[in-house]
Amino acid sequence: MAVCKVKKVNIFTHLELKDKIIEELQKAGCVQIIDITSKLKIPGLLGFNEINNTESDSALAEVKYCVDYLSNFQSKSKKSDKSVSTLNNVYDYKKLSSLFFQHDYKKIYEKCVGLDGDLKKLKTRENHLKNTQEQLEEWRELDVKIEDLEETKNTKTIAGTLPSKDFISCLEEIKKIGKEIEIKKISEDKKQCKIIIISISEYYSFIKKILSKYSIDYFKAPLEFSGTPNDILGDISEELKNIEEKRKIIFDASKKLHRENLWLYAAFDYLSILKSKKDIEKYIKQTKKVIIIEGWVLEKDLNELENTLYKKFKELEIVFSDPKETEDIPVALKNNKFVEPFESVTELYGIPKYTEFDPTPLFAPFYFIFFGICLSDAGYGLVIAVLSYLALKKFKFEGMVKKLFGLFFLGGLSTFIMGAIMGSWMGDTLNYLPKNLLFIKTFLINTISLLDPIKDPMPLLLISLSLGVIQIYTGFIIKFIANVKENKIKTGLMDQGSWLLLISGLLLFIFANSVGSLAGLKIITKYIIWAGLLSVVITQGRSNKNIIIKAAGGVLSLYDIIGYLSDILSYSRLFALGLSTAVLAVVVNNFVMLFKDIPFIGFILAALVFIIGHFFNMLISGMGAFIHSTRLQYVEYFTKFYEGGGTSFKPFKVITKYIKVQIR
Amino acid sequence: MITQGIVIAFLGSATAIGLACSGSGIGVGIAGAAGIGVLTEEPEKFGLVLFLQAFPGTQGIYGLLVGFWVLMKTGILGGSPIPITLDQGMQIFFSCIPVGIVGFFSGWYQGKTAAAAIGLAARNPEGIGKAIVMVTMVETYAVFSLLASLLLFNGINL
Repeated sequence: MAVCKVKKVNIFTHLELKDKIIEELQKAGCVQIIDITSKLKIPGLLGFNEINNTESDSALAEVKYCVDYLSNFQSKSKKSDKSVSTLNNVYDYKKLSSLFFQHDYKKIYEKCVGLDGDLKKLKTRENHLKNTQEQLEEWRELDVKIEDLEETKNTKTIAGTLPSKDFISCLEEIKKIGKEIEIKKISEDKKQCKIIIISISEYYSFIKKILSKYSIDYFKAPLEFSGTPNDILGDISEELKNIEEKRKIIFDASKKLHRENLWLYAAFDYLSILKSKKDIEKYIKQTKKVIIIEGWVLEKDLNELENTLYKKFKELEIVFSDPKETEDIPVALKNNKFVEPFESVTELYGIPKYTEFDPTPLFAPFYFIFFGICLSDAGYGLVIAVLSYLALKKFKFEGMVKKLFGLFFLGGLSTFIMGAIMGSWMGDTLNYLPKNLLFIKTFLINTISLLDPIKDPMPLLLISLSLGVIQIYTGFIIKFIANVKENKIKTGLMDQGSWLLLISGLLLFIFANSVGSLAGLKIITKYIIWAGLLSVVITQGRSNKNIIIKAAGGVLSLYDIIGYLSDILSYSRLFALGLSTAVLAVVVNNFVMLFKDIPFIGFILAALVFIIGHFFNMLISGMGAFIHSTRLQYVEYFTKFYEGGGTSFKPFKVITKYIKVQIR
Repeated sequence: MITQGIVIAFLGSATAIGLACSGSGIGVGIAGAAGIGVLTEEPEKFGLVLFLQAFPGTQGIYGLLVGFWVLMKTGILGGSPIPITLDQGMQIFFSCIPVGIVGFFSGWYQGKTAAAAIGLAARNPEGIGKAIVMVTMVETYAVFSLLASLLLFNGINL
């Protein structure tokens, strides 16, 4: 349980064994190798110079390029695509390299580059054509060949668009320049008119000056084409069609290439493994003959590591040592099956330091109950539990995702239980059962259900607040025990003991007041409260030196009581969220009943509204349940005893992206 | 039968839904704008960004919840409103005030916090757990206002 014990391991071995040892460590996957190149400054030890791994690096880059390019052409339908099943195959670690070397990735790479380049060229050409097309579309009426717009020895041609209202004044101004000007209007609408002006070269600059005054928009003739705009437009759409065909050919070729070269995925992972081995070499120190590897290993893996290494190699020495407290010792958590999913919540907050204890088992039961109360609908709980169970079975998640789904599964179970207790099955759906099935309702509501928060909300509110009291007490007690374990009994008594006394006194006082027959207890609680107050005032200012400030600090710390009370009030959210799920579910059912009365399709619509409405409510309320249960742990509970901020244990191991590798 | 009380109850329901949903709208908008900013750089963070953007959306749901509950309990939703006195109507209206007003402002400001959290998610995904707690701190008051509205409403004898 809790935080795993970690040992430091030093491996000394001959230089020649370096590669084999690294491979063995990676296969074992239980050592986190530390970078000691900067730490060990012993004369005679050399760091590795830049290791020459450009070749495998470039291979990795090229294979990655191929995989990235080709994976765009994964065929979508599952039947024809074998890649899914192929990738699910487990590969043997030893056979990976031979798999890589029996294929020629360079050839594929060149093919991919070629195809990719062609695609890009097509795209550029297509864009260009489309732009031209757009421009020419506006000059469709122009009955002149584009090449005729080019300048000749003596004449120049200008084509452009003018605002219609300026056309006449512009025309007159241009005509004043001279006689050798021909102006032709191509088309006109309310806003713009398109004109062509042909003149002798000498006039060109004058005309331009006038035109720019009227803010002309020049038509830049696409001189690469020939013919009238209408002809050219035909050519362009022809070429665009061609491009589409060419692209389809490339697509098909790429798809085929993808189908035939699924080994590329394995190659990519193989090369990444190689690279990770090369990278880890940088962490290792060496002399002329000897290398030193330093790392962390979990105590439980210790023997196995020793055995495998000694069995395979003779020329090496393994030294285990206890970690020093000043070091940044990595942390791995180990919990039983029920608690393990809750580690995801701990990890979100920050895992404990090596010297701390693991808070996961301490909050797991609370979290379980809280989630259930927040969602509190048996139907939703069942759906969530079943869905996350199926997801866990079907997709073999790992790490954080697996834990999260485990958490949802447990949360679903808890929701089912709490929902059954509160008599909520998809809201009040049971009320709408046909008459011959009503016995189910009678059984579920009258026999199993204990509360009905919609009719009488107070019990659930009180339960929520009591859970808060219990959790905050637990937090104090945990901190107290932690202090005792660290031989700080005095601190524990003063910091936690005094507060426990005061808060217990206050709660007992409230309890005694609300139950009339306990007059005797009332007097006792008064003494407890005074004792609590006194002990808080005396102890809480003790860090100050001056006696007056000490007293003042003690009195001021009484202000914290407001904080603790608001902590407890914060648990009322459990009630509010639980009730909101229930009420929203009832609202959904009300809507369903409205739809039911529509003739013919009413039943189908009602079913749709039922499914969508409840699914939406489940999603939103489920998110709320997850977030608020988490928050109660973080803000109200952890602040009492937990710090966090450790670094997690990341062993050096085989990490693959696409394929699964069988190591032994 | 339509009484003056029913009219005031309408006002209550409208206040709860209208104000709280406006707050959520503003908040989700603010968070969404920040989210799109992140997505232009890192489209693979869509899931996380959407998750964070949804936070200020809850206020609207709380408002809707209270509003619908009022409509249901007064029989308006079923089409046959029960006769409610003016006093009862006013009670209903006041019980809708907390979730409406708090929903408006907390939704708005939670949107700002969520936008900041989205910014953090872009730069430092590991800190997301803590950022979510910060965003939830705002949510607390929306939940409390919902609680207040529900308890107030529950205290009305209909």
